[in-house]
Amino acid sequence: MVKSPVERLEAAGLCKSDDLSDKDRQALNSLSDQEVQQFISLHEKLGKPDSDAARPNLPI
Amino acid sequence: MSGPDARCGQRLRAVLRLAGPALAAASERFWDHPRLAEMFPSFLIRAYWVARASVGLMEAALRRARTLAPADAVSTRLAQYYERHLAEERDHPGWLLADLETLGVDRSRTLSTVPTPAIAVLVGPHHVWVESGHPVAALGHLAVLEGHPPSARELERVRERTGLSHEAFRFLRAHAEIDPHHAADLFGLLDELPLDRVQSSLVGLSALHTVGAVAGVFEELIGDDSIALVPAAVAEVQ
Repeated sequence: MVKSPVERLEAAGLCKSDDLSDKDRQALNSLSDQEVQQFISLHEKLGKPDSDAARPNLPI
Repeated sequence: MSGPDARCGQRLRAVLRLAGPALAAASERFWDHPRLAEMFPSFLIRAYWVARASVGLMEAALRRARTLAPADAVSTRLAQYYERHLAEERDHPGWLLADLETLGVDRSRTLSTVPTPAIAVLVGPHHVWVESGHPVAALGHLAVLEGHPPSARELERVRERTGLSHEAFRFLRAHAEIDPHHAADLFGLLDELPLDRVQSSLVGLSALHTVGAVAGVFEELIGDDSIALVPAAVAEVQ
């Protein structure tokens, strides 16, 4: 059976479907295969931060 | 061409909410680094090149949008946006040169450096997407860089920890104030543009690429041996 984008993101540990708002679930289910694949690769490569502090990135 | 996808702003917000932890993980190792004060000028030099290259990207997107505009309603609207936003952003690289001077890094020294490979990877692919795809692609890049502004509180924490001057943080502090407005403009535009699915996906790919490539810039920074070459004025702060 073909999985939806949200099911694929959830299987990769990126999100919990039950925690998503309806709007976000609908938005994420519109992602293309290429976007989902890139998202999962990113998650596997970068992981999660140790703290919740919002750190500066590279503003322009 | 696929049909209209009116939810691009909402779609990108959902993507960036999920990608937020990955972006935070990327920068955390740098901001928690024990040699942060010593590395800070190298960060600002990279920020200078990212800001300058992003202005160049917007100029390229503006040119492409103007070319497509007569027959493309999205490009017509994009050309207006890029023109206005360029006027807001064009001076920002100069702000970084000024902040670097307060750390003893004069303009000629900053300008004698070149954008690093990680910066080329961050900005370069967007030129391909803009030229061979659609000028809307640059919005994914801007959404990540302007959509995660530094907080004034966190910047002050960093300043206290490093012992560096307030003047070295003027560019970053200014962005804590202005980027929330720029991000609101940008997401508002994305909600309003009549993008098709291919264009929406291009924006998403651009944003996700930017998250990964920002991580690459921080990784490169942490592994950069040239931080030992920072001016004496900075080293004395340690």
